[in-house]
Amino acid sequence: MTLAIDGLLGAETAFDALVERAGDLEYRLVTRTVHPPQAGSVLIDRHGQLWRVMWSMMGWVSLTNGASQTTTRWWRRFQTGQLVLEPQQPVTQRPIAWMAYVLLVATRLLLVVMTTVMSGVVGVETAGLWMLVGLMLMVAAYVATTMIHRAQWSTMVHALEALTPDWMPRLSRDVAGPIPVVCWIFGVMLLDQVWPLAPLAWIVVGGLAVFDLLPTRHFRLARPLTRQAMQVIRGRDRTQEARLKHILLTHDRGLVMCADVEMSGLLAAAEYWVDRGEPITVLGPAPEFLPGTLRANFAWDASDVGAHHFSVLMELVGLDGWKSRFGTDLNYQIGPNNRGLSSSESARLAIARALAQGAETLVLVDALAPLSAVAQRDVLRRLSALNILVVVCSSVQDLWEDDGGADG
Amino acid sequence: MTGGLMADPAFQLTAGQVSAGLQRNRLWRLVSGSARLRVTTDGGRVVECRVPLSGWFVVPDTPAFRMQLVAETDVVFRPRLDLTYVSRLGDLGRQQLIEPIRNLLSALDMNDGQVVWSTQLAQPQFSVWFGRALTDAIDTGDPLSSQLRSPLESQTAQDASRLSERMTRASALTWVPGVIVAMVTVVSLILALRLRTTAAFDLTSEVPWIAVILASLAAIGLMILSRQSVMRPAEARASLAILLALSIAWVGWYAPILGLLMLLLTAAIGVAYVVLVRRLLVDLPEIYQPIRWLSGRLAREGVPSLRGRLLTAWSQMANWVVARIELTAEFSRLSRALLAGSLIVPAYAAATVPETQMDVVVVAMLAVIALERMRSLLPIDAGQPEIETARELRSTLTLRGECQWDHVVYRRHAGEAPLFYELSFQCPAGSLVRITAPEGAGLTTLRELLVRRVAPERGVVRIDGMDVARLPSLELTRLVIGLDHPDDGQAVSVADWLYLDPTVTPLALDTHLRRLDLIAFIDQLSRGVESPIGELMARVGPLGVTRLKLARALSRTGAIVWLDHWLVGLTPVHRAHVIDTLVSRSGTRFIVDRNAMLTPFADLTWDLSDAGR
Repeated sequence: MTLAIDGLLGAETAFDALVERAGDLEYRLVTRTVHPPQAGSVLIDRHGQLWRVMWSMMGWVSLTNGASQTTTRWWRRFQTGQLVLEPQQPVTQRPIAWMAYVLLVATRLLLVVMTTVMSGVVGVETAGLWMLVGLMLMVAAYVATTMIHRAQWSTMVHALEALTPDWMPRLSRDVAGPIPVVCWIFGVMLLDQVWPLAPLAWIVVGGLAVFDLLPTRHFRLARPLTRQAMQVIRGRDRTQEARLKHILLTHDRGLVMCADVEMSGLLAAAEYWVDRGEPITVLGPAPEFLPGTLRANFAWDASDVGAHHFSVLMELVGLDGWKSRFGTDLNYQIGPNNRGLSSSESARLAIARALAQGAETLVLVDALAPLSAVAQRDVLRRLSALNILVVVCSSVQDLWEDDGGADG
Repeated sequence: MTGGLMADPAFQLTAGQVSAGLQRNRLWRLVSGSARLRVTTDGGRVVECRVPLSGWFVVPDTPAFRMQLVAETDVVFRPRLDLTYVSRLGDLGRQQLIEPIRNLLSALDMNDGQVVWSTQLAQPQFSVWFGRALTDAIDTGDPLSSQLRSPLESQTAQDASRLSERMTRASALTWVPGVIVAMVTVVSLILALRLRTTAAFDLTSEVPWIAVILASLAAIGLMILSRQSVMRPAEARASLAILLALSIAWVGWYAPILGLLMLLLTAAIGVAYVVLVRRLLVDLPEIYQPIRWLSGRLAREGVPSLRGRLLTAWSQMANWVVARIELTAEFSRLSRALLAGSLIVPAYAAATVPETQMDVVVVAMLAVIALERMRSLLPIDAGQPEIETARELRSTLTLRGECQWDHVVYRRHAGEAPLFYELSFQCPAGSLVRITAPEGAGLTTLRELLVRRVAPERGVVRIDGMDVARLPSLELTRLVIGLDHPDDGQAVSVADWLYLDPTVTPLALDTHLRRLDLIAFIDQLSRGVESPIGELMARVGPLGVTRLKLARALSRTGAIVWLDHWLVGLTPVHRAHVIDTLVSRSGTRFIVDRNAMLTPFADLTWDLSDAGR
């Protein structure tokens, strides 16, 4: 699950959003004050920055953040005494990543040894041997990188769930950095005691150490998540959820006007129930149409929607002049960001689209905002004549005359 | 001699006759016969040119000369189009006008080298520019300028243009210091290592010091380049390219085979990048918008059959996501493998060159490291938008707020009934204007006319008496306060977004955020106002976004405010606060009010019910 966590950290997700997803990610919320948290835990520092624990040893913790920066701190001074999100199973190592690193180190050692053995030997006959070593280096690097990428594949399902196309596999900083460099230098020094290396071979050793210290490429992971996906971060309003559920259970048709309701809460509650499988269609203040024809937006799979059917729908939503505006063939082109539709047309068409696609329960949360209060009331009156349930909440509700709708 | 767009009367001349003055600001066509155009300037100069074979000729709206048609045979000609419409012609139509225009300018000995005609003809204000630019050019004898000269222009567009040019030059030059540092680094390193192996190093006391200084210089250079690659990756590519090229050249000088091998490996990485990232990756379908759309629909669509189809589309989309990831990963694997292979170059050099030539080994290793840095700096993701550029280009234009729509005619598409026909409205600075309109009456277009995002077919829109056609559109869009800001897309953090406009003051912003119940959302952010703007948008949800935009708009100071769709997500308490603020603030305020909320406060009411015909 580490990569899923890395993805969320990279997306600069809030700590409480992570907590909300803790169960899915097999994490739990615990308090760690004295003992350092185990590897894989996520915590928030006093500056509000999120860190993931790479390893902890003798009171020291090594941490990485969403920008792939790493730091090692003394836990008792670092910890701020609050909650830590800890994996239910310790994430101590990444065996495959480390195996890949060992493979790389082995071929590097071979190169250093080769440099020493072949010192002073110049000739065409040695070219084949050098080429062989070069090929080994290339194959080892390719295999090692593939191993690390493939190790990430199993948890990439989380990226795919969120469909984040700029999620990129990368060699984690966990498998490089200062500690492996120290180990590399120390190991070569030991080798030098056993088998003295050629003086110039040390230049290669030093160069390889620099390689591991260079910063790795950081992709801004899951940027669309940060910018768009609302449900990850938004909190829940259980009262509103219960209230909406009650309406859905006690009404099967008609118009239900929700007075004194916090609209954002109602919208979140409606989305929550959609996520839980309720067959409701929720319309908010910003309907989105896919760029393309009106037909494609309505008929979905380009199946035919008859002119008569469409005419009835337009009458229902009060778009009387639709023929002159869109044409009867429904090939009217809508551009990106609803370009080509006025805001009031978008609002009415969104309702028509929902009805065309078989919605039996509509939850309208300020979905008619571009219309005047009078026009909103008119549309709702038309909808209330249908055999569907319409739950509605509007910012100009107080301007409506009492139509006798039930108050949820 | 008059001819309207619809009437298109035909005129006739017999051979040898000369027409009266042709109507200005028109595109004319010689329907039959052969004729010459006679141009008589104010100074009495007379020039003539033949009408092109296509028969089209242009009569610009300039008092600097008079044009007549001289018939060589019997001719029939007619006015065809008001030049105001030229920008609405298709590419081909506009292209056909270039020849007659240049034909005329050539007859007048006028240099049009600064003008890109295909671009200029597409501008909505083409006819205005053409007439005035011709007048200026004839008066001054200067080449035809692509920019209009006016006192206002010098304050705004030209300043912005100059600033933009300066910034372009600056950005073009920022790579130069890095390149110099790279050159100094390589040379210092080689000299230091060479000095180390000379006999003089042990014999004199000065040489070791020089070597130390040179080595220090090289170390400092490497540190600068390393920092540059983190802070300014775009410029660092040039520095690293020089570092790599010099290193390879030095290695190749001593061991041509190694130099060639290094060059081949560099080229191989380049080819892998071009093929995998620049060709295949960009060829993958654009998936961000469908993902956003599907995400939104899935969040709110609960009808089972439809939801099933949405989920199918969602899983199909996943294949494209995997394809993007896999292509990038393949470039990573391939380039790393090639890079690992390049390690053979310093290793072979270390094994074969004598110790006195250790500089070859060091420089070979430096080449490998430079190659690795270059590889990691190759752009793969979109990167951060450059917000600074937009911030630097602030306007010096100040408005008072007097607005006028003077007999404006506008239609969405040629041939359609006009959306606005002879629309006229005027309001003094500081008015509170309540706009009422039926649905689809074109309120967005009305604002776009004001900020010159679209041009009227006829009529003039003025701010403070100035024709907006002569004001820069982007500046107007920034100056006319609305819910959206033209630079919204460039904001990364919450602070960027809230303070996108320099006139926003923290105190006013804080007040409005509190009164609109938004401050708690900001307090909950993981890094306060430094959090990504997406996090705040996600927290407030679509209903809170309008409140956020309102808080920002109300905190801005400016002469003109234009608010539409401002009621979304507002409670009656919020609404009262917004109305109070709008009523009490200064400046001209255009508020779309379909529910008569502002009736008691409005200075003027603008009813657009009968704006079209």
